[in-house]
This record gives sequence, structure tokens and C-alpha cells, in this order.
Amino acid sequence: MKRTWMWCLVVLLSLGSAALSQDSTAGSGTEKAVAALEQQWLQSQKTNNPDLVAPLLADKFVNTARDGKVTGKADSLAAAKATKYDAVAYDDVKVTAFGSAAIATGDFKAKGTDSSRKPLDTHERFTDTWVKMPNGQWQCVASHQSSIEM
Amino acid sequence: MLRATPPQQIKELQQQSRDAQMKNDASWAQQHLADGFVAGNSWGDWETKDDFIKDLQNKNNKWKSGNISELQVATFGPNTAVSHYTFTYDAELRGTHRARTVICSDTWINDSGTWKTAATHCSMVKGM
Repeated sequence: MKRTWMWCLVVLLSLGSAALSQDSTAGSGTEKAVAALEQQWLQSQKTNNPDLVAPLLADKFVNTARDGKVTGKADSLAAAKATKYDAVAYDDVKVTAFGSAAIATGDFKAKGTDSSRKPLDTHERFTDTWVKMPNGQWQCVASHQSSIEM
Repeated sequence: MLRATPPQQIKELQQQSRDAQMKNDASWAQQHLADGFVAGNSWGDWETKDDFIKDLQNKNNKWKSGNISELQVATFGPNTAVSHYTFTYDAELRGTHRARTVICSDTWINDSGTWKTAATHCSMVKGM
């Protein structure tokens, strides 16, 4: 009887361990998946091609710019189309997974012309909130930027 | 008995969060900030959960006032919510007097039935 109980305990511990390692793998998978999407976003800016970022944004996406201006998906994409980047770089991008959500943070440097055709030379920090949608696709639901005070 | 919906819960927690900040209440933050929490402040610094709690415990940081307005909450499934709000404050933080209006986005995650903040990020509102 005791032996049977011990076997049950061993099986339970093994299952628990497998579940934990699955979680850990899923976490690292999430971080890699979201980091890849951040790179796709960077690529859209480097190539001045907002079509690359459009599918990454959720319908309820909200952008908060460094000047406090808040825009939804359509206006954010319109601004992206009107912005011309000569140089763009992301640095120190970190992704932290929280189950079906993930937070990506990083530094953003860009030069070019902004959506109102003014010269753009900016150094910002950003926080992006990603959510795994019911179809399994990760989409960004919020992006927030702030200028770095020198 | 009716239970508060997630947006209502988040609105209450959002207010509690800023109230705790005003009172330098580190215990509230300890309980309601997720492990892995990150804060991006309006002058471009990052803070981890530990940094944020140390700031709350720093007796030299003093809050004169702080008011939340225009609070909106959007939910994404049962476990994620994002709040957007304006925060006007006057405080002495790390030896610098800061009186400003910022706009903030906070991400909340439902951790086994408890809503916790995963990230907060604020930026200056132009002209305020």
C-alpha cells in the first residue's frame, strides 16, 4: 500500500516538474515571439513600410507619444505613413512574459522627417504591451513613449 | 451580491496605487506589483519593482499632491487590462522638485485572481 502511495507521489512530482518546465519553455517562446515582432516593427520603420506593422496592432491599439498625444490604430498608421525615417535603431529591448500578455521595453533612436514634415531627431524609451489573441496571434494593444531628459 | 467588473476593479486599484504612492506605502506596491514589473517615468528612467519600492521607502521623496483624471480602462480577455490616465502631481523626488502633468499607461495582469501591475509608463503632456 505504502509502495503504491510512493509511486503515486513519484508520478505526481514528475507531472508537476513537466508542467513547470512547459511553463518555462512557453515563457521563453513568448519572449522570442514578441522580440521577433518588435524586430518586424523596427524593419517597418527602417524601410518606411507601415504595411509591415499594421497586422501587429490590435484593433483597440492605443499609442501614447512622447508629447502626450494619444492616437488609435488608424491615426497611428496614418502618422507612420507620413513619417520618413533616415535612420532608426532599437537598443536594449527586453521582453517579459506574463501568461497571455508580454511587456517589451527598449530605447528608440530615430532621425528623419516627422508626420508634420518637421525634422525628427529623437531619443526615447518605449513600453509596448502585447496580448495573445484568441487566434493565437500576438498583437500590440498599447505603446507608450517618453523622451529621455538630458 | 454583485462583483465589480474587471474595469471597475482596475479603476479602484489604479486610484489605490496612486494613493499608496502619495503615502509612500511600500507594502501596497509589494503586494500589487507583478514580479518583472517595470516603470518608465516621464524623464526617461527605468525602474524595476525593487527600485520602485526603494523609492517609496525613501523618506526624502515627498508628495505634496497627486490627482488622477481621465481614467480609461480597456480589457483584453480575462487576464489583461490597460489603463490610460492623466496624473498631475507636485513632489520632491530624488532631490528634484517635479510639478507636472503626465499621461500614463499601466498594464494590469490577473495573477490567479489578483490584479497586479506589470508595467507603467508616463510621459509629459505638451504645454502642461
